[in-house]
Amino acid sequence: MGHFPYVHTGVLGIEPHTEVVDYDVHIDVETNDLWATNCLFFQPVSGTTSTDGAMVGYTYRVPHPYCTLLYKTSPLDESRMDVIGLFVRSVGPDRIEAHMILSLLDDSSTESFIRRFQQAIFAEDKPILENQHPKLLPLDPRAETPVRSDSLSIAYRRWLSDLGVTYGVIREE
Amino acid sequence: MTESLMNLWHPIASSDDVQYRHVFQGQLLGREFAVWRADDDFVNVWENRCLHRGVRLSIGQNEGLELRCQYHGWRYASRSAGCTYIPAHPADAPARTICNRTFPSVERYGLIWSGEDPVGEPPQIAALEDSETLLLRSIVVNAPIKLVLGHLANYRFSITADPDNLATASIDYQDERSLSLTATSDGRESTVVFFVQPVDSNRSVIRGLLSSSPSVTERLPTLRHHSMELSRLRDTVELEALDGPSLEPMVATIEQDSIALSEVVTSSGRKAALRVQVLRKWTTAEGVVGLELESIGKPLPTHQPGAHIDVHLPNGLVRQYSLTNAPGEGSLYRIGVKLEPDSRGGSACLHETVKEGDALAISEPRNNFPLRRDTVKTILIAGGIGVTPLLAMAQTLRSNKLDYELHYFAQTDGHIAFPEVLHELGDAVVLHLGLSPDETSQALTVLLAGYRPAMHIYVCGPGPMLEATRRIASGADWPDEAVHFEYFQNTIEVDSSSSFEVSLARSALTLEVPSGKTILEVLHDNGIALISSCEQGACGTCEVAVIEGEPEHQDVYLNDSEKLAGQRIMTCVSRAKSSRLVLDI
Repeated sequence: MGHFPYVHTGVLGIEPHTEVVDYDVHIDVETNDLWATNCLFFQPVSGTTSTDGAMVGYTYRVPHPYCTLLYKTSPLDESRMDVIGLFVRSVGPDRIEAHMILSLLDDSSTESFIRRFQQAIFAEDKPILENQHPKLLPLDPRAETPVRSDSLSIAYRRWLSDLGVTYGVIREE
Repeated sequence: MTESLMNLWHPIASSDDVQYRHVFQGQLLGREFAVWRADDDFVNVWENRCLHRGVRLSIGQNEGLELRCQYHGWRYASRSAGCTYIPAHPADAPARTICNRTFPSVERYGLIWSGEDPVGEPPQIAALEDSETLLLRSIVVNAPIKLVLGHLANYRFSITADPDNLATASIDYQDERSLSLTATSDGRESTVVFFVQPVDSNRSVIRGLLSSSPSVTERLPTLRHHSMELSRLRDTVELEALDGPSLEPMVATIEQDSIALSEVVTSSGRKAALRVQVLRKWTTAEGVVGLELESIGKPLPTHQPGAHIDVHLPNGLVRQYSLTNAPGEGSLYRIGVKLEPDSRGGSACLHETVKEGDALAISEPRNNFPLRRDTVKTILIAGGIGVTPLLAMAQTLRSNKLDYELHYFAQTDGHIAFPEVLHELGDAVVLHLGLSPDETSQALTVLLAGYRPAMHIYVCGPGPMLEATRRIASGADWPDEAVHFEYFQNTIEVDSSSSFEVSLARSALTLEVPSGKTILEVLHDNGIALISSCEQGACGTCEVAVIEGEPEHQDVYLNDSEKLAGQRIMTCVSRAKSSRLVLDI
C-alpha cells in the first residue's frame, strides 16, 4: 500500500495520505494461504465506480507462489468486497506474463473501460518492477530493508522460503 | 587489469549530464550509479539501488537537497545518502542505519569523476590545466577498454577540421585508462586527451577533451570533425571486438544491508561517537551564538529535521542542541546556543571558552521530534531559542513544497536568531515581538483557529509557552497527536521519594528502586545498558514500554493521552504508583 501515492498518484493514493497503519498478517494453518487483513488506505479513485476519495479496506490473500487475490471494499456496497485476481505465468526466472481477473460490482461502466482502468494501474507498476535489482526475488531479509509496512512482503518471502521455492528467487545463504 | 581499474578515478558523466534537479544513470565496471546534483552544487554518486526494495534511484526525483525514491517515496539526504523520511510511517524517525551506498565524486575538466575504490585524487593533466578546454561528444563503444585504447593510440585528426587533411599525431603519454595525442600541421598544434570509461567488460565510453578551445566559428566544425572520426573509429573497434573472445559481464558486489531489528547498545549512558571542529562561531542574536561544526575524519551521519546532538563540553558537561540546518544542506551541523543567565556552565562554556578551530566530541544525531510530511499545513511555533529545530523543519517543508508557517515569538528584533535563514524562508515567517504572556496567548488563539485534518503543530520554546500552546490547541479541537512539542528542560519538580519494584520481562530480572534513585540509575547499576540523554524527562531517549503496572509520570516528553495510556515510561524521572512495574527490557 505504501507505494500507492507515489506509483499510482491521484488514483490509488495521493499525498498527504501516505501513512500505512499496521495491519495483520497470518498463515491459514489448514490451507497454508498467506493473508494480510485489516489493511486500510485512503484512495482518491479506488475503482471504476468510486465517486470520491475514501478509506478503502483491503484483504490480500496469497494461495500460491504465483497467484494473489485482492479483496477490497466495493464503493457501491460497503458490505461487499470486489475481487481482483492476479495470476502470473513465469516465462523465465526473471520474466513473467501477468493475467488479471476481476469480479466486481459495477452496473454503469463498459467492460473496456473497466479493463482500461486496471491496465492503466498495471502499466504504472510495470516500470517499477522492471527497475528492481536484483531481478530475482531475494528471500534473505538482509538483502532489503523492510519496515513495519512491509510485513506482508516479509511474510511472503519467508513463506516462499518455507515452501522450498528455488525458481526465480535468491535463497538465503 | 580490472583490479587496478577499481582503484582509479574514472569519468562517469559529463558535467552537463547532471542538470538541475535531474538524476542521471551512469555505470562503471559493471556497477550502476545514480548521479545527481544537489541545489548547493554538490554532485552525489550513489549505488543505483534504493536499499528498501532495490528499485533504481535514477528513476527517483531530485528534490534539491534530498532524493526521493519513486517506489515508496523514501527520502535520502544529499551527501550522506542517509534516510530522512519514510512516508508510510510519517510519525517515526527512520533508523540511522538506513543509508544508501555512496561513492566519492569530484568535478574536474567538465567531467564527473568517481570510482569503485579510488586512491588519491582524479588525474591532473598539465595540458588541461591552463587553457580553456573543449569537451568532445562522448562516444559509447561496445568493446573492452583495452581494445578502445589501442585504437585511440592510432587516432588521427585534422587541426582545421578537414577530413581530407589529417595531421600526424604523436602520443604524449598513455596509461591504462587514458592517453594524450598532439597533432601538428602547418606550424599549428592541437592536443586531445582521451579518458576511456570502462562501463562493463565489453562496453566503454570515450570522453575526449581538446586542450584549447578553437575560436567560436571553428568550434562547431571541430566538434563535428571529431565526432565523425571517433564514430569511424568506433565502427572499426566494434567490428574487431566481435571477432574477439566473448567476455562475461562484470558483476558489481552489492553490500548486504545491515538489518536493524534492534539497536545494539554496548555500554550504558551517553556516547560521543563523533569528533567535530568548530568551523565558525558568530553572534547571531543578542545572547545567542551560532556554531558550525565540521567533521574531523569521516563524514557526518545524516540528520533529520528536528534532530539534536549531545555536545560534550571541555568542562565535562553534556548539553543537547537542536540542529538548525536542513538535511542534505552542507556537510556540517549548525547549532544555536543561548547564554542562560543561570547557566550551570554549559552555555557559558560554549559562549566564552570554545573558539573557532576547537575540537568537540558530540553524539550522533537523535530525533525525538520527527517531522511529518503527510500534511496539508504545518504550523511551526517558536519561542526564543526554541526556533532552532523549527528552522531545520521549515527548510525541509519549503524544499518539499509543503504549506507551512513559522511563527517566531521573541522579545525584540535583536533577539531574532539566524536572520539570514529566516530571510530565505520569506513570507512563511511571521514575527511576534515583545508580547506579554497574555498577548502571546491571544496571538496563539488566533493562529490556532481553523484546525483541519492533516494539519500539524510543532512547538518549541519555554515551558509556559508550550503549556499555553497545548492548552489553546486542545481548546480549538486539535487532537493531541497533531500537537508536537519539544521541551528544552523539565521544569516539573521531580519527586523521587517513592520506592517500588521493577521486573524486566525480557531480562527475567527483578530490581528494587529505592527512594532517591531513578529506574535508569538502578538499571545502569545492574549492568543493563539503556541509552539516555537529557536525564531530566525532556528528550524521550530512555523511553521503555510498560507491560504491567501504573507509571507515575514526571516527564514532559509524553503528551496527556500517552501518559493516560500508561504504556510507556521515561525511566530517568518517572516512577511507579503501583508497587511493581513490568518493563519490556
